[in-house]
Amino acid sequence: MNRISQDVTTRRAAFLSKSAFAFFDQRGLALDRLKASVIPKFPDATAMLITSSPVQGLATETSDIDLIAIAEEGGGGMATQIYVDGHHAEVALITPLALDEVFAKLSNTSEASLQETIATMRDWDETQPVKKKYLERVINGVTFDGNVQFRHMFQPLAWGFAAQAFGRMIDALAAMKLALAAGETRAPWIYALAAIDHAMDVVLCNAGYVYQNRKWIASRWRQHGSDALDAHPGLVAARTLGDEAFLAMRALQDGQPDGLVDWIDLVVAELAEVMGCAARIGLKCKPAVECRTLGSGAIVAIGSHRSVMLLGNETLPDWISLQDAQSVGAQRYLSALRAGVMTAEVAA
Amino acid sequence: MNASFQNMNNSGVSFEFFPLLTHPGATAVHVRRLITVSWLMMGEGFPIIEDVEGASNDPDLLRRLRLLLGDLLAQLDAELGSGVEVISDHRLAVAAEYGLSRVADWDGPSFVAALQLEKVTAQAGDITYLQELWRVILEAYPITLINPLNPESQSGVLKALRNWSKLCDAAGIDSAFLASMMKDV
Repeated sequence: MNRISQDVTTRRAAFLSKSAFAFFDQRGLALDRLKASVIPKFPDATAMLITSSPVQGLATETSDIDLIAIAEEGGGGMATQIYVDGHHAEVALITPLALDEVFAKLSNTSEASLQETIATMRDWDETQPVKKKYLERVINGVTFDGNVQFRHMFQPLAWGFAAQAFGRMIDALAAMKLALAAGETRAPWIYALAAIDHAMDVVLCNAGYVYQNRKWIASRWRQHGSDALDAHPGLVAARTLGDEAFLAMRALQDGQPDGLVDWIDLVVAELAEVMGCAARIGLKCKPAVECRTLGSGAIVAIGSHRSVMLLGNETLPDWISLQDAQSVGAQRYLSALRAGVMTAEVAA
Repeated sequence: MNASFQNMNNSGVSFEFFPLLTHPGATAVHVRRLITVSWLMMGEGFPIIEDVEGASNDPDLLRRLRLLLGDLLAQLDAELGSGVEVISDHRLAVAAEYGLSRVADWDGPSFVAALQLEKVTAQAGDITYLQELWRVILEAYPITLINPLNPESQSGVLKALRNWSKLCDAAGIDSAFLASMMKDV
């Protein structure tokens, strides 16, 4: 597991706090005005946190002010909308009990393997009382007096989100290769871009720079990429992640760029080493998948969410290497990934 | 379709939206679809376009917002019954490869061209293009949607939710999905 040093924790907390105050200065919104509008609506709140793009130093002129109140239930699950001097603030509510539960769950991942942590993070929103995006916002949240109250959770947050990004990167890489082998011409480059974005996220999260929102990935890379890379001197190919991202987009128009796939392979191998695992990638059948006979010679696999996949007369293997999947049935295994029947994993 | 938007794109792509939406459908399925799509457009679509307005100095952000809008359209297409049910991480790639059928009758290249996903450089007019694209989609949608981010819209959002709840009752649908939908956005 990664280790976030005390120095990084301190610097990160200072950055979040400083960014929050800079945001209000830039907006010309007095914090007291916001407090006076928000606090009376949540009189029992044990914490009121400024979150999201303002604390991450990424807010634009149209960004909302996202707040989280730690308070007992009320309001029927919808966020409270507040308007102050023409500024829009949205307050989501999380109960102390729910927060304790998800903090304990996240902390437990520190003792779990990479693959177990990826699985936990993958199923998080369906199984936990606080969604991942709010979990991240709470931990990186800044109180009105500038305190990063939950900074003690930086370490498990970094590990959990780095594992999640790694899992997504592996998924995207596998889908890219299968889509290429299946003869698709545009989907591979959407996957390539996803793999590159998630690779940047692995580097950033692993070094403690966590933010759950893919749209900001390039901006985060510009902000913290250099510091995050310095934490891992072994990363060489990954150093050009920010420059290479749009080769994938150009490929949507111009076809396969020379060396892009090989370069992504190199990045994944480097990041596998950072995350402490082998870079041998395979596809694994999800444990909850059920196979049922539809008719003669027709089995269907019932995958996650609403997906069903027609398999013909052969069930899927529990495990197959990505290389074998590419050569023996790229379209079939690509469909299995898309249906949520299989998932990409690194070999144990 | 709006003439000014037609002049903005010279891609040859058809911009006729929701070609099948006003056809009759099975009551429960159709009502649920219309409510879900309306809510997604309000809760996800307007915030993306608001972010687009703030992305004038950040081409990297604008590029990711194009992807997000494309992903949303692919999600709407599935909700409207395209029959393509893939997990969320694959929606955009599948739409780029095979196109859409319910939001617009686009093949893969048309989808990529309409969302300008292949654009590497940012140019003046990119933001206006996405704003106009969204405006034309809203104009074609048979239900007038309000922007929940506007201060004056809050009572309208609550009224819409009340109306939808009553509509679910009338159509014999369990309206519990409304609550989970609201929490998801």
